[in-house]
Amino acid sequence: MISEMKKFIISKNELKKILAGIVAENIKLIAPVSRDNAFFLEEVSDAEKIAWDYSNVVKPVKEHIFPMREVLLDFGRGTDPPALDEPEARSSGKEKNPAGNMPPVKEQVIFGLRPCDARSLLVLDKPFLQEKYVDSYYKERREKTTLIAMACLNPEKTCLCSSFENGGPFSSAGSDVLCVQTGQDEFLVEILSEKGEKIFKNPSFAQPSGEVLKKLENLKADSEAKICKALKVPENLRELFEAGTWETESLSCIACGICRYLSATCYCFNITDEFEQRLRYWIPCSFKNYTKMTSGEISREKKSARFKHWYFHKFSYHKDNFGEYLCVGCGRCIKYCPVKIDFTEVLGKIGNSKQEQ
Amino acid sequence: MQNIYLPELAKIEKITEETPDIKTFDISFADAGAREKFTYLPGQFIMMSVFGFGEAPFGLASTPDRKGYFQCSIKKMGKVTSEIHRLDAGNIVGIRGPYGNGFPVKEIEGQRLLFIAGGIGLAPLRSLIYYCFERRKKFPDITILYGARTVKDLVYKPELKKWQEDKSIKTVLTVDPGGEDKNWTGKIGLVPKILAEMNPFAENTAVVLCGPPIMIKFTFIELLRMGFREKQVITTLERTMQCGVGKCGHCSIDKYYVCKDGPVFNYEQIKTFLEEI
Repeated sequence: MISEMKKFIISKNELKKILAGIVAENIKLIAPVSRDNAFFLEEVSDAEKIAWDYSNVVKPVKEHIFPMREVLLDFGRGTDPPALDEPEARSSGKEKNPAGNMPPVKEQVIFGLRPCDARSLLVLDKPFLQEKYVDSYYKERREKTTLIAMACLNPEKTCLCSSFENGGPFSSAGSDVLCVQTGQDEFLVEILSEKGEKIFKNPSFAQPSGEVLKKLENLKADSEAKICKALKVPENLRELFEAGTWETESLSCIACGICRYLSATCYCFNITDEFEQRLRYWIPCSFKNYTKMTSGEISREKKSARFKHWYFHKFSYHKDNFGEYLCVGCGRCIKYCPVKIDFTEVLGKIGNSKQEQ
Repeated sequence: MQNIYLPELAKIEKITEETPDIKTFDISFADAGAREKFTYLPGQFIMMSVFGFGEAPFGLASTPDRKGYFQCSIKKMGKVTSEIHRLDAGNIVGIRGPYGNGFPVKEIEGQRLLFIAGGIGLAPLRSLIYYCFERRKKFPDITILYGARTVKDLVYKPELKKWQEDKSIKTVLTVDPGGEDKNWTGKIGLVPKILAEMNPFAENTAVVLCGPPIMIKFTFIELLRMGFREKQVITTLERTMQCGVGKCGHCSIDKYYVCKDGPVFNYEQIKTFLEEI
């Protein structure tokens, strides 16, 4: 536990110096960078390369904990027995190397992620960490990651983080540190965990004045007022499973999977062997092969069934299993959908549709 | 901490050809500690790896009372199963598990048991059947109805013969019309039809049903017609799986994951699923 809640004021240069210090300590620094007219959270070796003027990054933060493609196991092919460690050697080494064949994970600091993305990791922690089977690959990266979030002053038209409990453009949920730009050259920094405390260890930063705290409240209210989307999940969603609206709403969907790939919280994956490696990679549930069995039978063959499954997983099944929606309202699925499907509108239409027997 | 994706190495001890496309593999862990530790319930499954080719789920076909090794009966179907069929005794595979809930062995204690299987669907039931054979006081009344397309497609033939000779149980075998050969003494007809002829008691009977989807569908209809209630009929569901531990998402049906909440469900539960099985 941190000794007490800590808030202080810091200039942009001081903040940059701290970030440069992270790189100097040989800790991986991931921060927003501008590339191809868009912003991405990527590893930076020079704090000067960090972008400051972004609304949100294209890809959510999940890939830095649960990579799009990772090697789960390494083994030689065609050798007999396979060149996986001998069982004796493996069992003796188990305690030392918790992730088995996982390559050593470097400590990393992710700077500049938005509160929605920080909160997405709290959501993902539940299926990956709080179940009977703990995912050691996720756990290892998660434990070695510190999150320094940047509050949103200008949410986009597609944003709806404030529809969620603990969500909002200034939410600190999931962050180790929350920064708010309170002036041209002024940031209010709030330390929220021990991990965060380790990064901002200089005690000489100025305490925020009452004026700054007042400014913070105004900025927060302004930002929240800019969020124009809201989530309304029909209370009787389960009863609307057979509604014909699902079919009509799914007509324009091209099942490309962008909404799944760019979702801050979608976490379905495949495991496949490629030569001497066993890989894990993301797979969207909109793909037909997602439910294809060896027999050739496909459980969700119809596009509308695959379309609908995403809604039910996020807003019904996951809530039943983990007590919250599998969504943080980052709005990427709306912003990047090539056919302009807006899930909040779909849920609205479903809510208005008649239950069909 | 344990890596849930890391398989334990195991050796194929013996291979039995059951049918032209089904083999039974006797497998034991290379590590004595792992061998000792491995226990399971009938109805549970393992994930088997052929390194370099992939991993797939297989039901345990052996009885947990037999220590030291376990058995899986595998039909040659896709990439991984084709590779498994290419293996010889002595080859190494990777094993994770056991996973899944298994059959409700405590709940069905004291009830009449009616096992209905089609094709390779007998494999997971065989685990439970032997479990019950070992505990006849708790499972005094056992009936087995087993069908396959042709005589050649019947699995565990030497065991089927023993079961038929055992007067303390009732074993009925059937093949689809046209699937018989000249020595065939069993029934001819689809499983639901033979079931109707048998007209089993519904009262205090637990039905354990496993087979191809079409057979399950019509057998279940027949059971309801004969007065069985949904709760009495237990089955195992099949879905594609990648992880086996409730994370990858592939085997989801309604809010359940077949790998960790199943694969065994009764029809009263299945009835509440939004999606059809």
